[in-house]
Amino acid sequence: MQLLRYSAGAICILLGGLVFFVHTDRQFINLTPGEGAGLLQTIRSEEVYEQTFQTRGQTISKIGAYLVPVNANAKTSQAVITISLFAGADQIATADIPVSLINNSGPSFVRLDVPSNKNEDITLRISALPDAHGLIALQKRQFDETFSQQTILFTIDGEKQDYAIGYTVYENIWPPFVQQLGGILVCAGLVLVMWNLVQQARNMTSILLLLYIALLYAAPSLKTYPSFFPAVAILIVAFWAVLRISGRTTIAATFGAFVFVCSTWLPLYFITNGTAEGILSVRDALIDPNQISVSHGGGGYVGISGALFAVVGICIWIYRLATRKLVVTQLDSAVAFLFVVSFYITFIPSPIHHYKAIILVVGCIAWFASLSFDSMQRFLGLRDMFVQTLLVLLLAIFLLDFMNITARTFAYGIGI
Amino acid sequence: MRKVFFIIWWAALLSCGYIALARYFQPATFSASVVPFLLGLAFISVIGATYYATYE
Repeated sequence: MQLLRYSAGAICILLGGLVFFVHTDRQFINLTPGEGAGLLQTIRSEEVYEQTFQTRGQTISKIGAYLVPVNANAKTSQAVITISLFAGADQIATADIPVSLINNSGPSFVRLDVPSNKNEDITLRISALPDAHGLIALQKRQFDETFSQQTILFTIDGEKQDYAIGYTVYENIWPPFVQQLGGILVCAGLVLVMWNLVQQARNMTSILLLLYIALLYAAPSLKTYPSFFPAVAILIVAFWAVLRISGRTTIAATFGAFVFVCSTWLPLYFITNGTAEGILSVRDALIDPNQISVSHGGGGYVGISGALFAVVGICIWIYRLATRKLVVTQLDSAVAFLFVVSFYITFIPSPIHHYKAIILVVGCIAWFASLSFDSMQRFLGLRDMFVQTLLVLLLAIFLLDFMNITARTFAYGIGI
Repeated sequence: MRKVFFIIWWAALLSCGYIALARYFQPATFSASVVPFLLGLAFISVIGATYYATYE
């Protein structure tokens, strides 16, 4: 049994370590060209086509130009179109696209993998040798209200044009979800390997794990909002402690703390700087996974999991009231009262409407979600290791959902 | 009653520590980082203090 546990722990750590190294490309510029024969610029060998744009991330992993063949010989030609990148006068990368591979289905890509600085001016140069003359055309995009001439500059032989060309740029990123999943796997592996120690110091282990989870949760914002991590760490441990002293099991208290602190009210508040307005619908505020700061500024995502458990928790409270267990349910009744009042203030149009009351709404939902999780665990059995393992896996799934939504909220929020 | 004061004392201590950190690391959006944190901590403290006032 011990060997099995050590093996499972080692596999978890290994898997987590492997997941850590996954990187992916993310598009950060895509200027789609207009349609029509008049919006083509045939590439001539004696001309140099340059488009200047600003970078956003730390890298340019691949770049694509919207090219189309305009000559029947293009399919069989051995010629190439050369794409180069310049930072100022320095050439930082160059690559060729074979003319025979260019078709009408979208941008033609080259992989470059070059580092770049944020908001640096980069020039994309497209040129052709005489054997590719007149075979391929660039697709134009006229300036309109969706993008202005100030952010982009297209020139032919250094002469400024009154249009741009369609292009797309990707950066290489280390996705937050990969960091978080890898982090959770490594953590699970360490817990399995050091199981005896974990059993001896259960509360200390729980607090350390919560701090570790807070670090993983706040990972996407460590650079942009440095004080987000301490806020999450303090709130998650404090709420967990309150639930524990109220008699919840460790896993149920952890679930309640996740629902309250890993909801999106805190990141949204950071992004909008506390300037959200308007009244959100209950669905938009609590269950909609697209928590974009512009439309969901006063939201607090609890997910289907949090909402379902909260509904069951409220049913358990009502059942206890109905069976006259009034003393046991005193605090639950106080939280229910707080829930009704804060719900009214947050979602119902009235003179006392205030979006910040969503914090109390989410807190009360977390309280009842934790209550039902606790009841479920006691019903299934506190000593059954199979049940405990299933509940921990369930908890990890809920946590990854919260982490994913928050990472997306930050990704869209920073872009605004 | 001593435990109620204990909870409130700890909440005050933690918020002071956090405010100091936020002022140091994030002076530009200081209020944005402090207000929701204080509201969240106040909620937790009220629930914790109510628990002790009711059951202990």
